[in-house]
Amino acid sequence: MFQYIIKRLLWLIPIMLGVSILIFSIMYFTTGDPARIMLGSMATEEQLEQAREEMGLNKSYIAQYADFLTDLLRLDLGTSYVSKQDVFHEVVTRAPYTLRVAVLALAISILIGIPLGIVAATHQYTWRDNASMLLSMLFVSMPNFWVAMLLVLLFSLSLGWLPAVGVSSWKCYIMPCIAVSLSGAAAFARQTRSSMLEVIRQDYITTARAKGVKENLVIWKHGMKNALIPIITVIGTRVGNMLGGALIAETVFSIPGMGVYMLTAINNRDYPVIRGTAMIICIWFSICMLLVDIIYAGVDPRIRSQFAKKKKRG
Amino acid sequence: MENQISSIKKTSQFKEVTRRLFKNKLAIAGLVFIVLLIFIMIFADFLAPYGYAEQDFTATYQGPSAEHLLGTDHLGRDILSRLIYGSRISMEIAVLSVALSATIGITIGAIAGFYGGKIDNLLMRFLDIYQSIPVLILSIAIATSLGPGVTNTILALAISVCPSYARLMRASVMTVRDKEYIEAARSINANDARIILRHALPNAFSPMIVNITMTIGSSMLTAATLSFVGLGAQPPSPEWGAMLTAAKSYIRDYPYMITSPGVCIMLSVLSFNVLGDGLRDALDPRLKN
Amino acid sequence: MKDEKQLLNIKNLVVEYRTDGGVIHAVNGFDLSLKKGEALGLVGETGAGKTTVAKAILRILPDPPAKVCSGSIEFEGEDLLRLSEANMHRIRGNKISMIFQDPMTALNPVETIGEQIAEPVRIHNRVSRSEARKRTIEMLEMVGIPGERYSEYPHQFSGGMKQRVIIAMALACNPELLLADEPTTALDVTIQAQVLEMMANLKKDLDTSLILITHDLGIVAEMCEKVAVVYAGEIVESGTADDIFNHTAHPYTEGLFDSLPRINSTARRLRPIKGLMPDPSNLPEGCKFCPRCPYAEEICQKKNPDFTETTPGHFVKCHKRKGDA
Repeated sequence: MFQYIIKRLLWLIPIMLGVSILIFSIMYFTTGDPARIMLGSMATEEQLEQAREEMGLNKSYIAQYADFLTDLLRLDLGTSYVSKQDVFHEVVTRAPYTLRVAVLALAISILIGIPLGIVAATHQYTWRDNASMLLSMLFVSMPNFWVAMLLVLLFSLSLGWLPAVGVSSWKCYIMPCIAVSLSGAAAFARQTRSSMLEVIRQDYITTARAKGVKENLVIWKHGMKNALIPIITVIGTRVGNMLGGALIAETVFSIPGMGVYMLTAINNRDYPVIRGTAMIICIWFSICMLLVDIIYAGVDPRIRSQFAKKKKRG
Repeated sequence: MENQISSIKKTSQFKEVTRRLFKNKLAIAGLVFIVLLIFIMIFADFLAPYGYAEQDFTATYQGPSAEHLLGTDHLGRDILSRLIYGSRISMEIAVLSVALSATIGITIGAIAGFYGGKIDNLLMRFLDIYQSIPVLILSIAIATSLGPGVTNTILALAISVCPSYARLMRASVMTVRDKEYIEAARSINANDARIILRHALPNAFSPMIVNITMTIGSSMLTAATLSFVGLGAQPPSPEWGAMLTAAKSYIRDYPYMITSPGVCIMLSVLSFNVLGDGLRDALDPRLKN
Repeated sequence: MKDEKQLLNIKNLVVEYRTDGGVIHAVNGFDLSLKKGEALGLVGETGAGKTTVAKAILRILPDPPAKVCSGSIEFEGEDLLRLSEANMHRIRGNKISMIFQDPMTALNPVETIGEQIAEPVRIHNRVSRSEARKRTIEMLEMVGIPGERYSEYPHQFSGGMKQRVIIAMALACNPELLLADEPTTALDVTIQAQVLEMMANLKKDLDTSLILITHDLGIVAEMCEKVAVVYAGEIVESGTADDIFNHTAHPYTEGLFDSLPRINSTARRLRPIKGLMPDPSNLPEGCKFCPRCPYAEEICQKKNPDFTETTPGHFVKCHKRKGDA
């Protein structure tokens, strides 16, 4: 298990390297002149040239990437073209808000989605199954930001229960978290239902029943642990959506997190900020995927021993 | 005993699939809505009571009325007409981006699966890296770099979602690759492209068609989100996501402006999702029970 | 009629599977009785409804689609079909346990085999964790698996070893009745012999009654005193092993023997039974075996024969043997 984690950690290095190349390249071949964006349309050609020199924009692609990478390793994400602030510093102060929303939303969606899926699977073809599946179909089909707007409309503007904007109290997080978690909960419910149905038909479930295990335990102990394996995969892939959703929800609820920062940067074509925030989000995402893989191995002994076997051969 | 149940009646496969699909009322409702959407798209010019950019400053911020069924926006444009024209843009983005990404993905997957070895390894590691970037972030990055607009949105979406197609195709090609009929095809000198097209692609047909319907839905959502962050279709385009974005500022006083475009997006995505779901169940009934 | 030593008494059991494609008559009026300590072989083709009967006894049929329509299953004087679910839990794995056909899929892949064997012990006996563990290790060693493999997972075992684990699991609570559903079909021939021998010994040692479901007459001859031949969800012939093997009465049983290769036989060719088992969703009206029967006559098509005793303890369901034809 320990070796598995180490191996998986090491795998993170080439992945992050690749991601940094990809993000750098996408931004490198961008339209528009960063120097022009920074200095505005009034700048003279000489000023522009000087700025390009300072920013290292005249260097080759490889040299620029090397600069980007070494800066990245020193936790330097560059400076914003617009505000001239250090991007990493800005990210550090804003990240907690984004992470709070994303993590809470993930937790909520797991807590709602998995039980809902199990109820649907164990009551297949009943109204409970139909209702929960229809509801989750509906939730995966709504844009996050629209859900957020509807929530604002209902709970802030009509009922006045919750604050529409800001981060002044814990109440402010309720709507953003719900807005982000709904589609995830729906996805988890659907996945839980289908893998649970798959598992329920397996022979070892019949074996468990034949042993005299009570129905509840059959489902939760024997069924759930097996059904969890594909569910974990879906949770992993949904983490990306959660992070993205959190960024978007922030803008609706005016939460001063990375989303607002990034979206302002998009409108200003503030490339270092976009690049930096994208990079940070990818790092988070990769760490989450790493955790998912570790949980995966924790649940499924076959994955653990697969690694052990490879180890012996190699 | 249980095994016999599944093999009780073997009618022709296509008939059986359509029969099962038509038994699924939800999927059929989705299909009907999609057909309706296509109809609206084609006849938008006849159906829309006003032009999508037709401004009427004497009638701004009007709630739903007989004259403007869904009301007017801040520039006095008829929301219903804009939604009708918007169906074209939303569908165009979704369908074209999915077609493009399926083509790219299938090609990558076919190459990786068929040739295996180093090429496969290289392509798969590339996809690993690719998928370490959340789809929304990747499309935002690409769209930022390409600049806003409908065409660029299509490109950004297509590039972001192609890995799922590549993986599906690769898996299918790999299962087919070592089968005996491929050996047979090889022995009569069929070339690689022919083998892939004639044997591997049909084998992947069911999961592919399901994935296509599902990604159309999710691409619509991502496209709307891109519009929302200011990267998708630009004003005055009546793209639904862009309409929502514009309406955001008026949520306090004119909430009707955000409901109708959102409902349009939701219903379209929902239709594709339930159809995809229905197709999966119909194509592979084993998965259903 | 009531025999004190009667352990299991199935009467007129009817089980149907209800699907979109129609109703499948899996078990049609099944009668069976078993005394304590007896071993009964349930023989028949794949799909004859043998497994369904076993699962019906334990009430673990998947519902839907399976439905027990009528009949009674008396076990130690109680009708299992009328028992509450809570009482049924006390019987499953404790008084009656089952060995499944495919050892590859019958074990939970994410739990250690030790935990899986210990589970019924802990459910049915109020014992501590360590006692259950001790019992489990005992059981493992009894089936020839070293106790240190307690915390290994199913994928680390071969097919034969897995079947031993399953047998250990089934016997962990000293059941009165063991239902073994084709326990050796999925195994290699050499391992089959080992597993069978082990089962025979354990049965003797623990004085467990056994219903052995199989399509292999050789295994029945080795293990069972009593035999019941199943065809299309009905018992067509039952009796002692001697009755069935040496005084074969039903044409289907005859057919089964004729389709076996025998070294000392003078016949040069095997004689397989013609045709296929009838479609269980569309059973013939009269005798179910009639369409394939070489002796079929008019009455066979019209009337389903009764189950009659020819010699004491030897029952046959055939018009011809009854003398009606």
